[in-house]
Amino acid sequence: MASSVGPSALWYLTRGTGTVTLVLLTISVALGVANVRRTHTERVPRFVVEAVHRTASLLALGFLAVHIVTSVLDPFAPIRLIDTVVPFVSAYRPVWLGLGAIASDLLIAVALTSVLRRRFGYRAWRLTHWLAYACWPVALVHGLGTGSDAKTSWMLALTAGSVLVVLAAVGSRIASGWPDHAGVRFSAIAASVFAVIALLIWLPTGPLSSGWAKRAGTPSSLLAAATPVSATTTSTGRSGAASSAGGGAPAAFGTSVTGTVGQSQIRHRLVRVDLRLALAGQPLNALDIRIDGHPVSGGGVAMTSSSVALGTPATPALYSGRITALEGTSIEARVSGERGSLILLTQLQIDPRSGSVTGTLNAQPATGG
Amino acid sequence: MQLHVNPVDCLAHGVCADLLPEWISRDEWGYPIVNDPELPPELVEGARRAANHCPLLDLRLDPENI
Repeated sequence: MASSVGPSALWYLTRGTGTVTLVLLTISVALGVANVRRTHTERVPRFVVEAVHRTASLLALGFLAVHIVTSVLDPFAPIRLIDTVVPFVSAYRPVWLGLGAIASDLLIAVALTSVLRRRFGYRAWRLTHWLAYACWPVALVHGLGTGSDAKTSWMLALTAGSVLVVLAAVGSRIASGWPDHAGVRFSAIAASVFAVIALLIWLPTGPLSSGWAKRAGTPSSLLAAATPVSATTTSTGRSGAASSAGGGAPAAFGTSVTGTVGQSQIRHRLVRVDLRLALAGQPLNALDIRIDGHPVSGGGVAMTSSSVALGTPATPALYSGRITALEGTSIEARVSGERGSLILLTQLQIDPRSGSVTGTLNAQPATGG
Repeated sequence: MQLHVNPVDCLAHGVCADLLPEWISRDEWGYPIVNDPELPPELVEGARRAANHCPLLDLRLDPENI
């Protein structure tokens, strides 16, 4: 049995620190935007607003560091250190993790130039500080796009609150000193309205819709190969593609499977997992599944390619194809042969010590191309 | 230590006067007035803080002999 260890404390820490970072960035951006118009009262002098802005930003940087380190250390998702700096290169949700990398790069640039602004000079500091306007929305979308809690009501409320706070700050900034630089002000209004509308259109079709995890680029992967930990690696709260094994179609069949799993290194950072399975009581009784991918810390692989063959020991590849969805040890594959195509839905339990595999398999004839 | 304001770039944010009221006051438009460029030693730490918090970096703290 592959033990189903849930997400580790590190993973929760990643999520928690990500959320806190967003809150701190929101405070920082709102105060930064508002502070330009010299918001202060007798009880809250300007330097206090400025000091809170500064402290919130530095705190955000600290929480961001924990957010990044825990996401890399945790085996739950295959995130490498380089994925947190260079955008769009990760195996795990490249776009949405990439936005996080961009936001973090921007924040580091903004913070560094701020700390060293005496050295950089006012003009350079000022110019880089404009990047903060890009950092905050990118970070927000990163959280919505890949946050494990993005769909929860409290996180949605928090995100909406953050947007409202920043909009209020921008609004007050635009209103103060009106109508100087009217062109800039109208551009800012247009950009804000456009951003909010885009967000409202994207949310229901994106992160809030079902099947987002898969479309977001959670590697259909991460098979528990040699260690028990990773059997749950992609179970980030999404429904598995291989969970519905419908029956009743003419040539459909369901059976139990037994077999072995082996793992070998084929290149640097590329491993091959071979599953050799026997199907009980079926004419087609041999199923070979091969998964190539990058090893994930903690066990398992992030799949880069696969091949699946279904047949008999004498002719093992009567049907051949590849994996179409993989979550933990739920495998969905499509294989084709002379007599048509089959969708194979497999649920496996893997014993990491002995390398033995047991499980169930359902096959359905594939309809359409 | 000497304390100087760059009067050309200063936009009268007033942070320096908030942070160093002992030595900086504000004129009727809010622009800072430095009591005396020659800063007493006990105010150097506060002046450094005020200089660091000036949004425009227009408050400078310089050693005397430059």
